[in-house]
Amino acid sequence: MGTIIGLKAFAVAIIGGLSSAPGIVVAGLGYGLVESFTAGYVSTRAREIVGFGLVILVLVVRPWGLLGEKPSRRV
Amino acid sequence: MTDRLGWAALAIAAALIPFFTSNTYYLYVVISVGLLTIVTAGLNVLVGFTGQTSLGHAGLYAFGAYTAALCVTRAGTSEGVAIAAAVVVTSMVGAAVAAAALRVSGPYLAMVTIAFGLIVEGVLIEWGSLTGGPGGIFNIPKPGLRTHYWTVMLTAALALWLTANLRRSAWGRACLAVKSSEVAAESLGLSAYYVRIAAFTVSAAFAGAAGALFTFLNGYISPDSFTLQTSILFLLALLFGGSGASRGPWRAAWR
Repeated sequence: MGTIIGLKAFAVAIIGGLSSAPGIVVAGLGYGLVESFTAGYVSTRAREIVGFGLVILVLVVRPWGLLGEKPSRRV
Repeated sequence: MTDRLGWAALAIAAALIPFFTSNTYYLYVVISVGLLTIVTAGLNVLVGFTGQTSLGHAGLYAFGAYTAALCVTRAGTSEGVAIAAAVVVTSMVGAAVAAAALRVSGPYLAMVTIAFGLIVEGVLIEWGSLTGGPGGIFNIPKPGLRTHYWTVMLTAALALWLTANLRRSAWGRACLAVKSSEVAAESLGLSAYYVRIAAFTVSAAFAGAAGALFTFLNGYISPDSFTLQTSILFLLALLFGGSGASRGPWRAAWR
């Protein structure tokens, strides 16, 4: 019921950086391309594996997103 | 004291159910409650004690189920060995996921765990030579329903007892400290990161055990049993029962 699509939208927002509109545009386009290429060259089911793997990778390396601002930590 | 009497009454009632009914469906339902209790007890360590949300526990549950199924069908081990292997493998997977996931918190953590669950589901479907693809693994030798009933109930009781004790131990207090204030906990010399990883690993071990028992309940597993919906069900059950309370998981699993 569109759950996966909603999750992907959220995933893209996180990859781009929740605080950055341009980041989300870039990430959305990039994510779509990666998914489609994976679906075309590997298999349609593998696109979810690659797409969500990408989200985990970005969150491990740059938790604040590709173009987002690094948040300062409040104590 | 009344608490203890309540627990004892519950344990006796649970142990005696198979003597009063020969209806296999009722036993099946109660076993399912037991399985949910085990997973939720584990999830309680993570969500209730440590304050981290996981929406990917179906992935860990799947790891337990498939490890047990593969041990029995491919390696030909006994049920006990398969369950032990499932717990070990799932704990290791849990520790690895936690190491990556727990650098972030809040919605980001939810996203990582959801992503983990979806990736596991995708791999189960894609890697057909190992997991049987969308059809899953079938013809898994399973014990009699009554024997299995007592195995599950014992494990569930053990799970509740372990988590209740954990809550009172130094580790449990460390978890609670990290939940209530990360900064305060760190200023007392606790590494919030490692406490969280430990909690996630314990939680994964419980999910793995439940997954293995699920395999031996049905004798058949497929990726359909391990979707995002399953993860949400686990979390929902915990929230219904009262996260943080030791007896929450048992109450929750009935609803």
